[in-house]
Amino acid sequence: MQYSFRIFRPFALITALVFTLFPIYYLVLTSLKPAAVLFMVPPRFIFSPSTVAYQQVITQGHFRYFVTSLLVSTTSALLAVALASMGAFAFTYYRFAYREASFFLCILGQMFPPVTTLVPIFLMINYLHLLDRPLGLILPYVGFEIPLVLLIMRGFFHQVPVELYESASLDGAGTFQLFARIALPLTTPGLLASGILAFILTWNELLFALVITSSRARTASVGLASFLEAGGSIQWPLVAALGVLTILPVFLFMGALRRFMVQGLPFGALKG
Amino acid sequence: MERERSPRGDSAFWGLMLPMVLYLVTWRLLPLMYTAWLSFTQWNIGRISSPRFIGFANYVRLLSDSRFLGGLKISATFMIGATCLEVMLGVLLALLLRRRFRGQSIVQGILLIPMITSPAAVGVIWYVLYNANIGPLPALVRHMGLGTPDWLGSTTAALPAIIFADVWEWTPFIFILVLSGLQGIPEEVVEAARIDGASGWRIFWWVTLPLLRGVIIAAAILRAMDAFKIFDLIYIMTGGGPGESTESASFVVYQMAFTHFEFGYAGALVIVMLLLTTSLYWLYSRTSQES
Repeated sequence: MQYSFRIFRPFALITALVFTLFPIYYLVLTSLKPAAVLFMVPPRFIFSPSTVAYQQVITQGHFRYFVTSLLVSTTSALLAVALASMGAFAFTYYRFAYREASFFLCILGQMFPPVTTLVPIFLMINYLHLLDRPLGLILPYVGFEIPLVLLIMRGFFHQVPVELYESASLDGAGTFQLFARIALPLTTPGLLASGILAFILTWNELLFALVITSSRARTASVGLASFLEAGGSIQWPLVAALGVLTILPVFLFMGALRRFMVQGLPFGALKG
Repeated sequence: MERERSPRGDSAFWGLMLPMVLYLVTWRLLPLMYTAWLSFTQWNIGRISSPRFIGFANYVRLLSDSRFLGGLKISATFMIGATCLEVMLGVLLALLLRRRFRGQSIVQGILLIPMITSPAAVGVIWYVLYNANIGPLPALVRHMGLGTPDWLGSTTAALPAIIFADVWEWTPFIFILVLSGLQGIPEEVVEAARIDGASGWRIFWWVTLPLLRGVIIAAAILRAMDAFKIFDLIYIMTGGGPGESTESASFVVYQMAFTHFEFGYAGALVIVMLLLTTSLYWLYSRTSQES
């Protein structure tokens, strides 16, 4: 058994890596295919790449989906980190009746899938005249992200030694100062990690974006979906290029996140 | 942290806590309660100007709504199929990466990529891979002389094809949870079994697996709860078709609410789905208490 496993292991690992990477590789490949090669049978893997699709993204004005997504995801992540880190600090710094129960209530949102609030939020956004505007997505997204950030930040604040707070308050620091001057600087990795996770959560969101935006404030995911609805006349390289650009920012965060992922961060949270 | 302070008489407590709590109440709690209220009303935008209370009529209606019941069945099939495959592959992967080697962190990072890839992009990726005109998979099948398959256009193959895409996307989730569970098992336990003369497979079956049981079950249930709500991949890859063969429960809810604008009825469907996933969660909390 030991011997066979030794042979089996590298083989299985390579299979897993190929299975993981090939689909993304093929997407990139498709985005670079010139029209002449696109429908060749069997599919070509070697050809002189064309950047026509990426030029189309710019010239046909599809790049604004990414600008919208960037605006929506960044703003909502910042707001969520601000609100939830204050709350998480209060949950660790103070001791009060029903503390655990009320904390549980706050993160309950993790278990109640966002779809349960889809219709009321649509009505609220409609009432506020924010349909098809970035702000109309930011408002509900912050609500999705808060439980995730709260959960992570409470863990980080727990690790701050109480003595630091005590000596600072002897020096006359108020609670807000303890939060801003001591707790926040000591938990920067947590703020970053939870902020990035919050960003990814909304960058990848489809359902609410589909319902709340239609043309002006389309996000990357909605833009991508709309190009497949075209049916028979799909512009493959363009769709693939949009797909590559949708994945790209999340990839960039990958390096920053790897350390936290290994620690088994609650990633189930990512899908709301 | 034993010497924490009481919030009594400290106005900062409310300054820190209230913004978040009010936000959650406004954007999570009240909408959820409104959905629950809507589920007892009839409200067709366009035909009825405001919700009209009709008691349990929506819930009675859904009991004989073949489209929603079919959707539940499709969601359940999807959930079971995807979760089983993902657990098997995820556990296998975790075992493969258990012993450290050079470059492990890079390999591990790569294996986690699908999980953070946008579901819309995952849908597009597999839509391309499955496509009869430009996809490599149908080309491969054709090359073997088995004809040109059109998986996403077939009522029997479309759902398994989407499940396969989901397996690609979410196996890493099981993998990373099980791996952290594996690394928590003390070396001595395995060593002791080895000294007693147990072979590799026996150690796995009688020592490692029982110790991992809790982690595996927890990961599987978290994954199952999420898989049950499947919407995005289906919306992108098949739009519920062909026919109604991939219309998951979430997809039916979406259509009820935003194609037929039956807000009250859609509310009832959401509440039923919520109750079903909550019962899964209840199962999860029971097993996690055990271990």
